[in-house]
Amino acid sequence: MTTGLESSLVKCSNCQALLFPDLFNLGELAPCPSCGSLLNIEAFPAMLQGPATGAVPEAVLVEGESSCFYHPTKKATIVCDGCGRFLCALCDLELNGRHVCPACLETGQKKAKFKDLENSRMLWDRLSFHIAILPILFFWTSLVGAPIALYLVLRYRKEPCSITGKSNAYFAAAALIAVLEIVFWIFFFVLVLGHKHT
Amino acid sequence: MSEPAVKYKKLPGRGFRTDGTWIALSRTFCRLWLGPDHLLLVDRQGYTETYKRFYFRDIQAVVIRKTNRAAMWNGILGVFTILFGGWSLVVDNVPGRVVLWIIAGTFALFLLTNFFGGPTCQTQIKTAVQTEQLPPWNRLRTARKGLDRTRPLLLQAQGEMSAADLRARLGERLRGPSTSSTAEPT
Repeated sequence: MTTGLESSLVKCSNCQALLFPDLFNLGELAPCPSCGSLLNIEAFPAMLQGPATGAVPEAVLVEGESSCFYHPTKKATIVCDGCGRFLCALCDLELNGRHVCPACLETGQKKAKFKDLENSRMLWDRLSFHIAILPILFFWTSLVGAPIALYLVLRYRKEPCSITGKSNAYFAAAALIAVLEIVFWIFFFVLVLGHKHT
Repeated sequence: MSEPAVKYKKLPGRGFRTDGTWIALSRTFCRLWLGPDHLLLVDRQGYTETYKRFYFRDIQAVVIRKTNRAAMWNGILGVFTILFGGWSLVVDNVPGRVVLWIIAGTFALFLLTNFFGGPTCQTQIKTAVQTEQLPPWNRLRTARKGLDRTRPLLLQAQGEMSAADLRARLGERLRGPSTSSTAEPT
């Protein structure tokens, strides 16, 4: 666990020696007094704050006073913005100015409703594009790859892709290439089968 | 209950996070983005992106350590460039000479790219409860450029304080008037 004092210190990334503030914000590289590695340490005022301490809920003192849905012995301080349940200070989770209970937070995280809690995404647009362009190396793979790429485009075109910005360029390119490949194969089979019959 | 999408701006630099021992068993492509109130570290492996957010109000320090990786690669690539360039001079037949010139040229191209990229570094970001590597800031120039873009936002979120004032207040908090600049790791 990080203590308040340790949180105000910086370690050398090479030798792990604790560095004191003499080396902070010099604006140039300075040697680590322990190992000599050249360091540029940019410290910010947040260093003056220790680790955050958790909220402590108040106990219900007067009978009939509103209590927390999850902790009936604790005093309710706020209402959940998601489900409307009464919450104590311990259950009140603040996220971008909204107050939610742990259950709503979990549901919201699973359904990706809280952008700030999303920590992983699948890049369906790139996947469908790469499946569509794979035939550049092995053309026969387009027989299977093109329908798969087209399916991925149709299935996931509305899914959020990278969190840093969605572009439909990959989906559009994948769809175009996949359709062209499917058209090619249709013509190919029609011609081959037609040739065999005649 | 869903929230609007956050707008991100790309920060300079790109890098790889490698897992494994001396052989990289997996490589993850990393980029840094600037959000309205946080830095976003995006790790992309295959078709999956994972995100780490560092809120401006929580960032305590950015530690840049100069490394000699660029100098080492300059040496290695320089040796190969000279080796193949020199070999091409002693070869008699033209096709062989052309092939060796192409190989030497490729090494020279990598050498120049590495040389003009400037010195390398390892960058870490520190909050009260974690210290995380920032692989995209793996060149001194890139790290400084990225930090120059981020610094005003961090100070805006945390409050302006001069470097000397911050050093003095941290010093007061940590030690008495006369101690050395390092302490033993705990």
